[in-house]
Amino acid sequence: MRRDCAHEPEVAALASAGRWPQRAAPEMIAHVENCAACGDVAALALLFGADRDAALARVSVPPAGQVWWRVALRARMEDAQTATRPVSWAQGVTGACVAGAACAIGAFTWPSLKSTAAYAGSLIAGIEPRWLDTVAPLASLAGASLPLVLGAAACTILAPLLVLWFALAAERGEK
Amino acid sequence: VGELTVRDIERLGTLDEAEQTFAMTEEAFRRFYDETSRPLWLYLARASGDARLADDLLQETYYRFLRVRTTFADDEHRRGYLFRIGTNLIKDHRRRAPRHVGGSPEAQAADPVESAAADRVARRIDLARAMERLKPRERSMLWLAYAQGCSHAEIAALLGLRTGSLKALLFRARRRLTRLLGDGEAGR
Repeated sequence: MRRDCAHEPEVAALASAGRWPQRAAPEMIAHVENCAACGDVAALALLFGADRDAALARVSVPPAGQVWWRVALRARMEDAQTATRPVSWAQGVTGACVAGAACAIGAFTWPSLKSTAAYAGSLIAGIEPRWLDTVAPLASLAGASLPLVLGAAACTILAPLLVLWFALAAERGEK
Repeated sequence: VGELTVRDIERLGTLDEAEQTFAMTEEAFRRFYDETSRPLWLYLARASGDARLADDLLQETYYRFLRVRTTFADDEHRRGYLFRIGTNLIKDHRRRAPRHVGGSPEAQAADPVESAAADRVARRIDLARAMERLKPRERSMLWLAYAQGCSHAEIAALLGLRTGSLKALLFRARRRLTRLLGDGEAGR
């Protein structure tokens, strides 16, 4: 069964402030003596107040300057991270685009390069039939080594970008 | 912020800009901190039931407080906002580690050397033990109401409750605590 009283907040405020019963009005004291709810509130507030006062005297918190310093440092670090986040994203997107473009160019140009190499080989062979025996192996060699050539070209483009990427990543890690 | 490195310390020379980052000057913060840090720590320790957690939450509370861009009507509003951040941090912690019981606040409550009155110490130990057995929200409510003397409206705002609901919840928490204290005294 719930039983509360309208005077509870007043009693709690007086008791928790250490003003009970010295600073309380006589009629309030008389009320608390006859009101179970207010009696509980006064007893608890006095107990909490005593606990608070004893504990406050012993609480040890870091100095204000130290807290300010730590908060400022952390805020700075978080701000720096937030500021460099778009750059990191842009770097990632750029790397992916370059790799994708290199693959696409290779895929698109591969058939035409292959046919051009074959055509060039046949042309050379047609000009001087006696060279055929010499040129034909060279033409087939050029056709076979084309993927290697393309791969080397792609590495030439990508290697500096990867070096730059890792260098920036290391620098970010140091921050 | 964990342990600071030499590199962090080297950066301190440029930390003067911090005042531009926060909505408060260092001088104002020092005054505010000196007024609020101890009651806040005590609230965090009593509401969470863990003194070590209170140390961490104290730093985090001030960090979030300083990072917020809010205009405060007066010191009371500012103080209420600070305690609300602390309350939310306790809630977040509880959500992340619901089974964590934490250290006992008895270490703060009981100090026989400090207090000559053994009865008072025993009552404070009873209170600490009884508080440990309450729900975190009940601990917060009771501490705010009876240790800090907050009004029902203030407690409701701090804990994110309706004032009407708070009265009933506070009544139930008080009844539970009274019963637990009665058991404690009977057990002695």
